[in-house]
Amino acid sequence: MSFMPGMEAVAELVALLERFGNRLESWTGDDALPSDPFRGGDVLAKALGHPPDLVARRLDTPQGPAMLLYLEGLVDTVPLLQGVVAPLEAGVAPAHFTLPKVAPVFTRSQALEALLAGHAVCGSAAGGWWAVDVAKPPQRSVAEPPNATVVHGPHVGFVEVLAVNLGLLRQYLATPALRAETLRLGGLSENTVALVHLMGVAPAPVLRWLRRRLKILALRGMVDSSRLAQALAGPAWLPLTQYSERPDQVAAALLQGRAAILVDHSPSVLLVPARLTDLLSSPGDYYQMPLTGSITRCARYVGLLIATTLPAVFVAAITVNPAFIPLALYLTTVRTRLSIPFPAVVETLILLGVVDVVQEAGLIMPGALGQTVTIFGTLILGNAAIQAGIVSAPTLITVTLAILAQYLVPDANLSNVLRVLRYALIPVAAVFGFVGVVTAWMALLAVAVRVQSAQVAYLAPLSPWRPGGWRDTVVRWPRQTPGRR
Amino acid sequence: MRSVRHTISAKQLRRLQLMAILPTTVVFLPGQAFAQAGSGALWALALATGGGLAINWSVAALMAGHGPHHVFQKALGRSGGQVLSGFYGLALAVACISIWNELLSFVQASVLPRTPGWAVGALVLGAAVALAYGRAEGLARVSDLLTMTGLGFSAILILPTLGFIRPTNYLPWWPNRWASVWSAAALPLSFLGESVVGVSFLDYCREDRPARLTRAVVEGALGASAVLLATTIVVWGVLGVGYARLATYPVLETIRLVRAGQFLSRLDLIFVPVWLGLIELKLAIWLFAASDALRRAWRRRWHAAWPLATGGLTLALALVAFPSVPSRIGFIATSWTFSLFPALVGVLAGAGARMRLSPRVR
Repeated sequence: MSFMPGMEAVAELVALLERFGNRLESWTGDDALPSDPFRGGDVLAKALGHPPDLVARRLDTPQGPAMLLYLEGLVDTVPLLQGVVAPLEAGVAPAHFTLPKVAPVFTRSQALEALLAGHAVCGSAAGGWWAVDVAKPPQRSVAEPPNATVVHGPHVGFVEVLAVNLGLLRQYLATPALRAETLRLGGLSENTVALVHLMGVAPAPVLRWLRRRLKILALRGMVDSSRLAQALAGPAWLPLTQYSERPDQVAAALLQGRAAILVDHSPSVLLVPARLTDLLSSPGDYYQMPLTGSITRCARYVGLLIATTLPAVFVAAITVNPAFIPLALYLTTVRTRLSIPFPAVVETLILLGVVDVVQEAGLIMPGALGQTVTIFGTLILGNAAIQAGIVSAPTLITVTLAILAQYLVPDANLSNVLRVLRYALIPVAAVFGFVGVVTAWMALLAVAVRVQSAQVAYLAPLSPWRPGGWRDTVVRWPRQTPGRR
Repeated sequence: MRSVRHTISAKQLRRLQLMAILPTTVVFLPGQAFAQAGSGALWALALATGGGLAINWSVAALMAGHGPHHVFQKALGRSGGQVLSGFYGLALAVACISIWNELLSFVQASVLPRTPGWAVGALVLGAAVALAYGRAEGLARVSDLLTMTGLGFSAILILPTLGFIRPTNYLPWWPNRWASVWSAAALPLSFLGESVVGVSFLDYCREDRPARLTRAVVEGALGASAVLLATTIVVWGVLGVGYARLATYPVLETIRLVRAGQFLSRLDLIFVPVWLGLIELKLAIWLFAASDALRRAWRRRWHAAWPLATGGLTLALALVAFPSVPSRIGFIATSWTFSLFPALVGVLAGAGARMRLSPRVR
């Protein structure tokens, strides 16, 4: 249907009504496929909008003409030709095909769902309509995710196929207690979501909360698991789910009693509940000695403080409370800042802004170009800015340290939150000095202690105080006690 | 109270009681004790500890694990209970003026802000209201975190300080005049006996056994007393009585005296931020207790406006009425130590005793 320019609203309304009509028909069971295979093929092609990747092939079988439909990019042509086309032309009924998944379809919605899942749909006047699983969607091989590499430990990562991801998980957790509850989410475009947990290990309140939340989600489509993460309640400024692309990390989390949400077509698995201590741990911690693992963990917590607070402390010390920093350091800093035209707070904010721009540009630019941008931005621009007397070396050192410390935090979402906090603390520090920094942190704590991720306190086991959980938080205590799981 | 959610454990109650007493006590009381009693400061604080322990135990035991508002209603009926809740809330609000005074004095002495007192006060008020808005559960969780942080940093500070203790400073052990010891013990007694605040969290506690609740309150206060005594001993050893009695905040002076080295000459960079956070938490605990009592007296629902109004009003009074340190000390002695504190102890203990004797109590 074509509409005149400026009539987009009408076109949108017509499409909406059509969709609603289809849904209604599907719900009432009034969308039965016609017995004539050619008419049925037309109905399905029209419902899909005659896409270029839809193949509608007429076949001559001993029982009469038949229709075969499939979406070209989603099927494996070898089983299609050998397991569907050849038997059909030889007069074998679909019910006797040797392929593993063959099912009858009766309605248009069932046929469309099968086509979109990569199945071939065939129909004849005598045999009715059938869907045959010959799916082979575009898929990459199982490889280590580049954003979570480890020196020791497994080098595998999730891919974009739910079944493969579940299979990877089962390799680590070969137990019948592994449960995967699947459901279809998305109003316009449905996608399969699996809630995975270990029966008897994951707390019932967490599972109950998750099931309830997943059921009431109103999402138009589910492109990636990140949409789900954002929809799962909580304040918008704190990451309350943990992303993982590593099956070993997800398996370990399930053993801890957490739940995993796998979304078809997404390699990112969501782990809930996600406490701050979870977001600051990395799979690599468990593949090294407890002592070095603990040092790394401590470094992350210190990094969190440095990334958020160091620029603010620098501004407070230079602007309001010079007595708080060692005299020698203060004199050196002041000497280098004599020719700088900006106050410390403006200088720090400008420099942070420039570093963030360079960082974003480096991420967007492909490969080698990104590296060039980063090197040019950091080395050449930084050096030129100091030589031109626009920024001072201590400010540059402070900002660089804060940025580097941010990368100690393994969770990308938390890392970005730290960046925002860093900006927020600087103006307060410039006006109120150390009192401002401390008070801002107290206000942050006041909010953070009230936050919950899937019914679990965000700052647990540090707050509420649960010493039993401390052996795997700021430090990683060795687990050598016999009998302890 | 049936409407109250039982959200904190007995251990959290203990830490809340500790945090309701400790922060201003440690920075404020050693100076006062040395100024009044000289070499008898430690004796004055020991006396206060004993007296405070007796008061805390009596108040908590008589209340039998119930919060003050429950006790007031059981003892005097609904209207009488509301009146007593109002008195309790107002008394704690007056004490908040003193906490504001202590906080602003400490900020002035420690970090020398360039912004005026009202601006610092407004900033701290925002954080304190955010803390108090979390109610008992939120405050208990922040107490959990800060107890750990405070103890950790205190341990870092104590170690280098020990090396600066001169044994000769501890002589003489006996004070010249016992009258000064008795008078110097009054102010610390009113600080260390502050279970009058801790009991307001009894309603929110999950623990049912009164003996355990009493023990938690008493242990919290006892912990604060122990830290105060240990701090005073260290201050005495490092500064000596002569210097300690002249300083408003001898703890700060002690830490500043420690030479950490050529580069990091002073350790108050570590002490002050942590202790500022602790004092803000103490303020939030008191603000919550006061505003919770006041809203119960008016029979209103909990809202952030309650701690905001209580905090704003008490801050304004602290800024307008008591601009100097001597006037602040005079205010705390007259308003709290010799009037409201004994009155609150009497009211709580009396209501508790009446409730226990009343046939209406199950």
